[in-house]
Amino acid sequence: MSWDIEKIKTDLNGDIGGASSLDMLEAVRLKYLGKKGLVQSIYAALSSAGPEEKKSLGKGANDIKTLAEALIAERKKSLVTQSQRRDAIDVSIPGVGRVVGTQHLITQTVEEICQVFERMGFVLQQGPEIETEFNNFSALNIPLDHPSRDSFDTFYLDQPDPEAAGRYLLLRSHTSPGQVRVMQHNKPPLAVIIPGKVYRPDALDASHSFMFHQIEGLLVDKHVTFADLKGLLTSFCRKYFGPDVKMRFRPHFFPFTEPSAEVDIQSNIFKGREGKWLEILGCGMVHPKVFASAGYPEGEYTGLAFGLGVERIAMLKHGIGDIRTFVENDMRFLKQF
Amino acid sequence: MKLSLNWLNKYLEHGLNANDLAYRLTMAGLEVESIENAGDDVIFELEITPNRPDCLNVLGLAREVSAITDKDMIAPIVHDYEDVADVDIVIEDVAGCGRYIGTIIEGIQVRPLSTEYSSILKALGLKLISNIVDITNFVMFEFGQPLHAFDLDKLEGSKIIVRRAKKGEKIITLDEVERELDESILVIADARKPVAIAGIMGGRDTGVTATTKKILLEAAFFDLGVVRRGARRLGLTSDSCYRFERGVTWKNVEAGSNRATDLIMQMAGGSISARRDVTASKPERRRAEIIVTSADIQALLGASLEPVRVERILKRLGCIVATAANGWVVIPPHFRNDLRSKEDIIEELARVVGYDNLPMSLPHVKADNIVVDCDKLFFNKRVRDVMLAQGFNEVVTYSLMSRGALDKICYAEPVIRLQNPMSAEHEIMRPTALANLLQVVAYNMNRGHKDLRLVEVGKCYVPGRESLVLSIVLTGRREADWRRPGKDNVDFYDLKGVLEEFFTGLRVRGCVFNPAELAVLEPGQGATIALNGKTIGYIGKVAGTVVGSFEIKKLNVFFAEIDLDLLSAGVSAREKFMPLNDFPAAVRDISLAVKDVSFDSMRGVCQEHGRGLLKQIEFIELYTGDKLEDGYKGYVLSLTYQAPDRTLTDEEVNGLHEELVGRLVGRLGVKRR
Repeated sequence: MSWDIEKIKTDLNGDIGGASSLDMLEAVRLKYLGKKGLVQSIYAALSSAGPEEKKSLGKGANDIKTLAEALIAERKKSLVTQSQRRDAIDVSIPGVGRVVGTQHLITQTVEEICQVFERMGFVLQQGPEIETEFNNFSALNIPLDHPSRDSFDTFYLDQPDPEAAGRYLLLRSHTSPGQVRVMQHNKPPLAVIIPGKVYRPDALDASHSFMFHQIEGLLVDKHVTFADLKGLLTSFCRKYFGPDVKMRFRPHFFPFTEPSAEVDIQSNIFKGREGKWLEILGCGMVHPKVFASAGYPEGEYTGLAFGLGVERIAMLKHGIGDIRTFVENDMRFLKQF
Repeated sequence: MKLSLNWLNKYLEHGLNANDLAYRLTMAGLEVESIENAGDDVIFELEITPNRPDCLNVLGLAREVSAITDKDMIAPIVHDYEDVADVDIVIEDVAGCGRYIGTIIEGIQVRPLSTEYSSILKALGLKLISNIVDITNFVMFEFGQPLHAFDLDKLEGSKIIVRRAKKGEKIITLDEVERELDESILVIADARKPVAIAGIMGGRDTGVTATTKKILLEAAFFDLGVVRRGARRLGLTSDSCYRFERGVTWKNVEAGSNRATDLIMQMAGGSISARRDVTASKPERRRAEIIVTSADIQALLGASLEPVRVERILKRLGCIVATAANGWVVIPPHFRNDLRSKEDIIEELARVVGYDNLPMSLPHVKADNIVVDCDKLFFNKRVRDVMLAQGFNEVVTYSLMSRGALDKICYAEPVIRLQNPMSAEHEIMRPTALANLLQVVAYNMNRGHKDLRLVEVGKCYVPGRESLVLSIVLTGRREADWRRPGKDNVDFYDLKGVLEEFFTGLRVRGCVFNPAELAVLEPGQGATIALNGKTIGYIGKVAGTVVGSFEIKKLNVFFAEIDLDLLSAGVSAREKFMPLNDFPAAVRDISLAVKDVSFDSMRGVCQEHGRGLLKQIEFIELYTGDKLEDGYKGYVLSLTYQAPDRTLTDEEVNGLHEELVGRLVGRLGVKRR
């Protein structure tokens, strides 16, 4: 029997090309490489061939074997890929996962601001919302029957003050009583940041609420100056509102600081209000009378204090026009931030 | 406080345009809130802080501008008048009125004010009445001293008595309102009746009219507290009241009286027939000397100021200044009651120089002396983190609520009330956030959002206690999964699972859920939560009637509340490392028919007899089909056995398992299925 090696090669190519499934490919493999396949048949015929023929036939069989193995492997790979592709998933369908919750914008703002100060070395402290007249007013150099109290109009509770006969407890009208408590219990040097809710009998409208959040800061040490106050708050504003923020320190009046100031800023992040001075905080050097009521020795310490309105800052930063948005708790609002 | 620039310009040439002047005033602490053109005049609206009553008049502001711009000012020349004849003035309430100057001017002609003056008053938005009344207003705005003119012929007995009102006395004030008075209110009375509410408003029937010929001009020093309380009591205020409340000065009473007398005689004619200056209290003492050194300035401001500058500023502000060793002796003027200490003086210097012109430095922040409770800080942070990780949206609601909302949630314990609420809507300090959260649910439901996972971390208040409370609401469907379509509603166990994860996340062990009937919850669907035997909160399905009273329809609401202060007190200190056990565990399931026996009690029995080898009991399935006897439920439990020191043999596991099952059957009466 004679073998046309070249024809076999051509047939092999044709057979491989025609194998459209893994089963058909296996049949092709058996036809050429199986125990009873063509290659084996050629090897079997070698013993009866002459020396010249043996040499060329042997080489031909080896060639076919190598070629068949390579072509089959290649074909197999492409068939497998093809079948896998048919089972491909739509990777664009949304995934299924636990929905992560959201932190209220007020809480976020409080945390952000506190973190800026904490990284500068301030320590977070908290105070109660139900306070005494002493801590809310007297200890802060606010006389009880004086117009300087007008800006601190206050809700009184039906609960008597256990420490002051005839007086009643109240809802703190600012976070400054937190300063008083810190000073009552600690000796300088101290640097604290005190966030919390405060209450004032203001009628509800787009920019007023009877409940809002403040953050109080206090730093007391020897040799603290007004220049330090300016430097600290400038550093804060640049960190929190961006390095391009413009600031001004405007003299103001607070009974518990002397000198006192309000800080106005201009920033491009306040969309629609570019070029306008917007008040963001009150500050000053701690009044000597506040130190006196804390029992600190006269003239030994100086200090700086500041207070920020959280809602106001959040409203400016995010372009929120109505303070009531924060307490409506509309899911669309909650999920946005 | 409104300021007319035309008026201001009569006293000094400041050389600034309106915008620059407004900016300089603002940056000196006299904030100009608005600038408006009024004819050829410009009107500033200034916000004057309560410590600066001296700036509630044009001369005071001119003094400020003089200091800011370093320009001289010229005050109007005022005649001095002596007491000439008697005026019948009696100050009965010495505490309420320290000084009263009564000047009787006869032969006046009441007519409109000349345009030179009236145009300014008009630009300020004041209603023009007559030359006499307008002059009293003009002088009030110019000198800051409120004045009043009575028609002398209408004063019974031509007498002035400064006294407290009697209870039940009435007066019709200039605004045509009849007001009932009491002893808290200081009045000016004639022989028979009150004719003015001291410092606040005059009476209608004794005022100046077109036919008035004789007037009694009042310039007085009323106590700021008395005026303030009277105004609060009557709910009445006026330009005069505003100034008295903030404080006028004893000395200024005379200047104001004399200036008005000058102008009245100049513009309405007439002459003084009598004048009397009655002083019930002594004039304020000369202000105490304040010593300020350059070192003081350096210490407070962190900057030094040129000595010449310091002196000029203080003098322009009206202080008497003398140089002393390394500094100055300063005597503040009588109208600056707010300048009491060297800090006050330094603030004056700083604000006139301009805060923005002072240097900056960074402080060395030292807080070594503050004791920080890190565990507590971490705890508070983790509370929100764990709830966020469980997919909850944090809300913030008011701390104040209404009685009606409390009734809706069946709350009958004592509460804290406001003495001065703004409305019944917000008059009670919330003892729980439940009502607020139900309102949030209703609000969102009305906007198509029913699948809510809400959390609030906020204070709640009961008499004697203010505590931080975690409140959780769960409503609607479970989290969506398109691979398992269907409307799967949340139930009790979803919320319980949230709490269990919460406790795990906060490293709190040993919270026990005890079945409880609470008025606000559906019967049989609630539990109190106890830690170390102390109740720290509750969980359950909010009663349908309660939910309905908040207009929430067709929605199951599950609620839980945990007192975080109580919870944090029960947190076990730092967790101790448990060696990891690599010996194989064996699992055995058991199927039981159960009636009136809780999973907790079964777990208790198993743990009691587990010989330390029972590692875990899992609840696998609850079956309530009809294959069970009436009243029975099918529980499938999975028990895991593991020894810390060896591999358990099958015999050992099976033996123990059979023993536990036997005990369940024997002690609790459950049946094997």
